[in-house]
Amino acid sequence: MSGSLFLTLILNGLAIGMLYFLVAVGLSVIFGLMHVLNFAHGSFFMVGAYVGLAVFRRFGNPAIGTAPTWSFFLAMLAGALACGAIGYVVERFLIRPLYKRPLFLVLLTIGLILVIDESVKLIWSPNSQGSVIVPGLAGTVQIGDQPFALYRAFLIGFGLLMMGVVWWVINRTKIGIIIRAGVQDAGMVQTLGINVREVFTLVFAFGAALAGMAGMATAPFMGVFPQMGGEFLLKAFIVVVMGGFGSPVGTALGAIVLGLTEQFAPWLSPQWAGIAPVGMMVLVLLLRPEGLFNLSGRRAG
Amino acid sequence: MSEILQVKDLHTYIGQFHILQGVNLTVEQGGVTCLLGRNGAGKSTTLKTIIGLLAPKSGTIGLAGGGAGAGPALTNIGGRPAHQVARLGIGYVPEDRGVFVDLTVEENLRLAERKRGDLAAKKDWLVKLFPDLERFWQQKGGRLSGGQQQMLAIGRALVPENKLLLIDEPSKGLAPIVVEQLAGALKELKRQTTIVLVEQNLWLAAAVGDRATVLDDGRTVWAGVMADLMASPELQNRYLGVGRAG
Amino acid sequence: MAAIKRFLRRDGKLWLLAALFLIGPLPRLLAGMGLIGPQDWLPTHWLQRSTDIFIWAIFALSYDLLLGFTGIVSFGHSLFMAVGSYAVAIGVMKLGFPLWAMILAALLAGALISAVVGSLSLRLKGHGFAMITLAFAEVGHVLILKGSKITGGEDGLSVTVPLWMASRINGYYLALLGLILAFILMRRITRSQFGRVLASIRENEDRAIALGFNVTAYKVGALTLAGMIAAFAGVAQVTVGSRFAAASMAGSGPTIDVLLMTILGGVGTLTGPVVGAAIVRLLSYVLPSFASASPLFARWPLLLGVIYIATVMFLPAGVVGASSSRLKQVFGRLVPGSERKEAA
Repeated sequence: MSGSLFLTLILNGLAIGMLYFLVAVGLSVIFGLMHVLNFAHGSFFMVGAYVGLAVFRRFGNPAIGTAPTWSFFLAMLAGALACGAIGYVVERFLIRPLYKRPLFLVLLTIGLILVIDESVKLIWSPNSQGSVIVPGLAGTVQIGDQPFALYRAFLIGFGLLMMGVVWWVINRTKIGIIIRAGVQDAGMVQTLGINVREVFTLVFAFGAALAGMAGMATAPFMGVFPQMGGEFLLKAFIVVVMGGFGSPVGTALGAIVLGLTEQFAPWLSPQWAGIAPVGMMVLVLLLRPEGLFNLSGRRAG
Repeated sequence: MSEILQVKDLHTYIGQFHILQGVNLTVEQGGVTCLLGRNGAGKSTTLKTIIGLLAPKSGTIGLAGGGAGAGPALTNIGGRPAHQVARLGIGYVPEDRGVFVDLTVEENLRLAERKRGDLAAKKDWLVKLFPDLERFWQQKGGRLSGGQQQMLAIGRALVPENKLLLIDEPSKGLAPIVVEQLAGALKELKRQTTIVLVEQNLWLAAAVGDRATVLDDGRTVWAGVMADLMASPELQNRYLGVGRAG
Repeated sequence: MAAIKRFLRRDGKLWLLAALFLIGPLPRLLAGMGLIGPQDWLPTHWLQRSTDIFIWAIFALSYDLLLGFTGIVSFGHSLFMAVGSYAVAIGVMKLGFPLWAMILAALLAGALISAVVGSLSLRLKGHGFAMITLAFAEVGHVLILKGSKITGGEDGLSVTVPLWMASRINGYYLALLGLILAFILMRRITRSQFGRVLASIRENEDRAIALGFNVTAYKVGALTLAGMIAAFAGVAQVTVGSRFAAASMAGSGPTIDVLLMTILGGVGTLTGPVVGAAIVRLLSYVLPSFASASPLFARWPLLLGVIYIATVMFLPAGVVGASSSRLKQVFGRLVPGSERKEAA
């Protein structure tokens, strides 16, 4: 393997790892805080892509799948807002009545997959949408003898920025203190005079918004299609299992490790590379169920 | 003296188990009211029901100034969610202390702020009461010893302006010397606020307690002045299962 | 008269229903045997759809042994059905073994693989178990897709069966017989001492441990039986159902379907999963035909999802269990989180 190939594989892994982080961090914190294993999280991701794409196309030429660069950022924002709103409604009206029946809570989120996915197919057709090209981020740069897509460089930068934002919120704000405390014992937080239920709603909506934003960020990378939700849900589960439920730092590390694994595994065995991610998930669950990167070593769930 | 809290005929279930079967508890303004009784008598469940972690099946929890008008009249707060109860000015220190192990001492205390600046206003007083808190200000709660965690848990309940503290077995698992420090701190505290203290350690209860209520099998069986209970080996033997030594 | 009444009150209604399904297509069976002339009673596609319902009902019954009777949530149940299907498909089509031998082998394989998965995973509680079963099923899914030399990969494997199995009417009766057998087996399991221990695990696992039961062993036992019955459903699928083993069988799709069926019908009952399977499959046949009225019906799973969510929120005991308040109590108590608070 040449040095430049090695470097591009690492950069590719980082780029897709950033997407995994954006999807998984909400899933992780929502589980850590509320003990809700949200199977509909992948569907939020997909809705974000569809809503974002609709906004993106309003400003451009649908025939060639492109629009001004600024409208892409607007589209990401729209995807985030739409999913935040859906997340708010879902938590407030469907999940909240079921906190006392955790089994049914999981079952509910599976029903949400059906409703959300089928609604998307109803509105936008079940077919894959055409390619999405962001003019300002199109093209490649040359790394040695290897081309590297500019959009992936953007993803790495954007992902690092969002990691920083999440880190700052979790570690430097009052809401972050509440979240970290609530992951340990939400009831105790409540006895301190904090309305934990409101925080639950906020975190659920914010997690959904991040997933929606990731959906639109994924669009120029691999297109927009109804099955993208299920694909990324599985990836997010793998990331969260590796990172340890409820740990944003663990999620970041898990996402990067998964991204790199997916890049390097085909180089080891093209045929069986596909089994590496789920294989890792099985091994971590069997050998270290609290997660590889869960630094406090506590088990959630 | 006026009552700050009056619990009448409280019944609480946990799952299908009928834990509290008629608890009566009157707490006078100021001083320490001890809540005593054998293991499983319902002491912790009583505190959890008052703070709102458990919903009572029947009975009333009257809190002075619990109503909108904040007058001296008693308002039934039974069944309200814990955060609402806490905001009426009740601080709760649970049996396991409820220290957040991944949060620093400062963050543990900041969490209890009900308005910005609560902690800043109280910090000097708090660290004078519990000097260890200042020493470990930026340490994670999980790094503290049991005694320090207890100081942190009580200190946290003191950050906002609370008129009533519910403290559940603070001496549990602590060395005698630490229990003595704790007694000193509680004596200091009871001059400024009202405390309901659940305690198995009769020495600590006697050292700080003014009045006592004894529970047995989920019911109130005795209430009176702490000194009377301490003076009566027979009462202690009957309700607390302790020997004549007391 | 009194005896008949008593019979009807106990489970006679069930057997009457079974008899109806046995007698209903009888003219077709007789015609198939050449005893009477050709019949146009009961179109073939309805025979096929009924067969499909019976197979799903077997699968849903096996899932309910876990979800309803033991209180464990598996997201990888489809793996065991796929094991049954692929064991028969590979054994018969690729290796040339006789069908009856492969049916036995498939049941064994289902039991064996579920026992292995169970003993590895059941140390994990609640969500951990749900996640690892999901992962195991996904591993199976990838293995089937990538091992295309043996499994046919994305193309799947078609299965040809002996002539006596091949007609739709015989398939119908074989599937119905399979369902009746699975139902009787499930009833024996759930009413046995073993089943009572499973119920006590469901209602309070800590208490079952305190009573001295090796809870993990019982759970592995439940998963093994459920895996075997699921493999049986897989066998039925490739012999009398679609006669096709597809990689998607091991994916999350069938697990979600079976979850819907069990919850809709009534979790923790025997008739519930059967009724649920019938409801979900019938909706999938009937609703798309209204697509010309509204595109909503073309996307019928949307309606199914709404019905399902309403069931989860307002009718947790399902259609069958709704009349039984006891079940509601049982599932009201299935609240691991809130049971943790200790009496003090």
